[in-house]
Amino acid sequence: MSDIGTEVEIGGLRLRVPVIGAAGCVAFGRELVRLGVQDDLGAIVTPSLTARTRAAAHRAVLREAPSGLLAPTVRPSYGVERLRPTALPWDHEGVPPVIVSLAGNTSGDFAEVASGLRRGSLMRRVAGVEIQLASVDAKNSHRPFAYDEFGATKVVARVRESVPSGVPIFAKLCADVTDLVEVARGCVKAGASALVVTSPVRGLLLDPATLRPVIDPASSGLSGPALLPITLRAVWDLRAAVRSGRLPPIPLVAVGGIRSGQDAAAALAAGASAVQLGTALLHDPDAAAAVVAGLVEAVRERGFDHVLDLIGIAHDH
Amino acid sequence: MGAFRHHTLVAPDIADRARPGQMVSVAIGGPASALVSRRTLPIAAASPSGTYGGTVDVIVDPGLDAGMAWLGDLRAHDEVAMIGPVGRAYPLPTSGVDVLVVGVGASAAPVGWLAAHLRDRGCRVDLTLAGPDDRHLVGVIEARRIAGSVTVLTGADPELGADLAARVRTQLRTSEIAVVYAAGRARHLAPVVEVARPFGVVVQCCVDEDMPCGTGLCGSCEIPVRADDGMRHTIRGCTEGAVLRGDRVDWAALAEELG
Ligand SMILES: Cc1cc2nc3c(=O)[nH]c(=O)nc-3n(C[C@H](O)[C@H](O)[C@H](O)COP(=O)(O)O)c2cc1C
Ligand code: FES
Repeated sequence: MSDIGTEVEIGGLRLRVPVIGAAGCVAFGRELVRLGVQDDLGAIVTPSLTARTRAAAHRAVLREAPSGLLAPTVRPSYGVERLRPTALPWDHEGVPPVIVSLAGNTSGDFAEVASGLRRGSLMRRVAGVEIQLASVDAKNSHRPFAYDEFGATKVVARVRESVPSGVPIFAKLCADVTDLVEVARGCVKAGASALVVTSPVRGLLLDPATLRPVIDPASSGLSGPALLPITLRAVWDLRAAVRSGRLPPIPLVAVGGIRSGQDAAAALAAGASAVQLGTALLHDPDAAAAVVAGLVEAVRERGFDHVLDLIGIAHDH
Repeated sequence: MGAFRHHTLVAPDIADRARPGQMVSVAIGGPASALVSRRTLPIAAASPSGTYGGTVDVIVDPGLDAGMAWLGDLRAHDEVAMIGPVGRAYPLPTSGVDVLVVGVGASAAPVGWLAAHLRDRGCRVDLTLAGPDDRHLVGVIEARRIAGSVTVLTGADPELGADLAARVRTQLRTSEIAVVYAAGRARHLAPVVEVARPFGVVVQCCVDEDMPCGTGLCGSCEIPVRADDGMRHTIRGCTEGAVLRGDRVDWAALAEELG
C-alpha cells in the first residue's frame, strides 16, 4: 500500500494494520466480507459471548444522541454453548483474525465462557480474548467489574487460568471510574496482555414527550464521536502512569469516538498501539480504509516511516 | 405530495438489482456528521435505465426526526452515501391471483411499485393506503393507475391499525384473496396479520422499524420470529427482513421490545 509500515504487535498478536473492529459493531465478520471492507481491519472483536444465550429482555434499541449513540449495555447475547467447532459464526472466508469478547455477571461466568472456548479445536480460530469488564457483578450490587480493582482483577485472573497462555487477553475498561490506573494495575497483575479503553460511558436520555428515560438508566451507555476526548484522556492517563512507573508497561488499545485517520493518529500519540472502530463503522462501513489511509498520511507528514513511531509522542516535550 | 418528500437518487448499481420490499441504507450528513446512525428506507421505485443512469426513488418523512429532516432537505445534485439494495424482497406469486396490498404512512413507499409488478404478473390488485391524515399518504394518484381498486383510510393511532385490519377482514371475506402484501410499522402490521390468520392467508410484511446501520453489523434491528420447529429466535430486520411472513413474527414480543 505504501512505504509506511503499519504492522503492530499486541501481546503476541500481530496486526497488519492497527485498526480493529470493536465488539458489537462488526457482528461476526461475515457482513464485512459481504461489504468488501474486511481487509482494512487488522482484527475484529466479536459481540460479547456469555455462558448461556441471553434472549432479549429488551430489543437493543439504539438512540441517537448529539454526536453519539445511546445503547443498552445489557444486550441479547450469543451463548458459548451454541458454538460448534465445525460451524463457528466467524468461520467465513476472508474474516480478519478474531478476538472473542466475553461477558458475564460473576467471575465464574467468565471462566465458563473461556473454558467453553477451549472445547474441541475452537481455540485454533481465536486470535485473542477480550474481557468486557463493563459487565455488572451480580455479587456486588450490580456494579460493573471495571469500576474497581478488586472486581476487574478477579475476572481477569479467572479468564487467564482458563485460556491457553499463548492467547492474548485484552481487558476492556471503563474510562468513567475514579482511579483508572489502579484498575489497570490490577488487570496487568492478573495477567492481562493489553488494556482497551473505553467501553461506552454511562449516559441518559429522556423522551421529550414523556420525560422518562428512553433506555433503562442503570444500563445505558454512550458511544460515538462524543467520546473521543474521554478516550484520549484515558489512554493518556494510562500511558503517563507507565512512564512514571505507577503501571507496568502494557500495550493500550483506544476505543471510543474514533472515526478518522486524525483521530487514530491522536490515539496513538496519546499512547495507544492500536485503535478500535465501533460507531464509525455503523455510520460508514468503509470507514476503516479511510482511517488507515489517514493514519499513514499522519506518519508520513511527520517524516516517520512506521506507525510505531507515533506511539506516545504526545508525552514528549 | 403533502408532508412527505420524494427523492430520485442516481445509483446504477442499486437500481439494477433492486426489487420491491428491498431498502437502501443512507448515511446522514458527511463524515463529520453529529447524526451517527444511518436511516434505512424502503425503495419506492427503481429504474435501471433512467436519463442519468439507474435511479432509485425513496420517500422521506421529514417530520420523523432530525436525520429525516436532513434527508428531506436534499436538493438536486446533492450527494448521499448509500448502500443497497438491502434485505429481502417481496416474494411474488408465480401465477395471476387476487392480492390485497396495504401500506401505512411513508412505510407504504414500495406498494405502488409492488402493485405494478403484481399487475404485470396478471394479479388482480386491490390496494389500501392508510395514514394519520391526507398529507401523510403515499402515491394515491399513481396507485389509481395501477390497482383495480384503491381505498384510502385515515385516522390516528391506535385506531388506525384496527381500522386497517377491519378493512382487510372485509376484503378477505368477500373476495378470493390469495396473498396479502403489507408495508408499515409493526403496530400497524400486527393487527392485519391477526385478522388474516383465521382465513389461512399469508401476509407478507415489510416491517419498517428503525435500522441504525442497515448493514447487519449492529444487531439493533432484531425481530423475534418462530422457526418451523416452533422455536423462538431472532433475525436481523435489515439483512434478513425487512419482508417477513407475518405468521412467523412474534408480534407481541416485538411490540414489547419496541416499547
Ligand atoms: C451497537 C453496539 C453494540 C455493542 N456491543 C458491545 C459488546 O457486545 N461488547 C462490548 O464489549 N462492547 C460493545 N459495544 C461497545 C463498543 O465496542 C465500543 O466500546 C463503544 O461503542 C465505543 O466505541 P465507538 O465510539 O467507536 O463506538 C457496542 C457498541 C454499540 C454501539
Ligand atoms: S440495522 Fe444494524 S444490524 Fe440491522
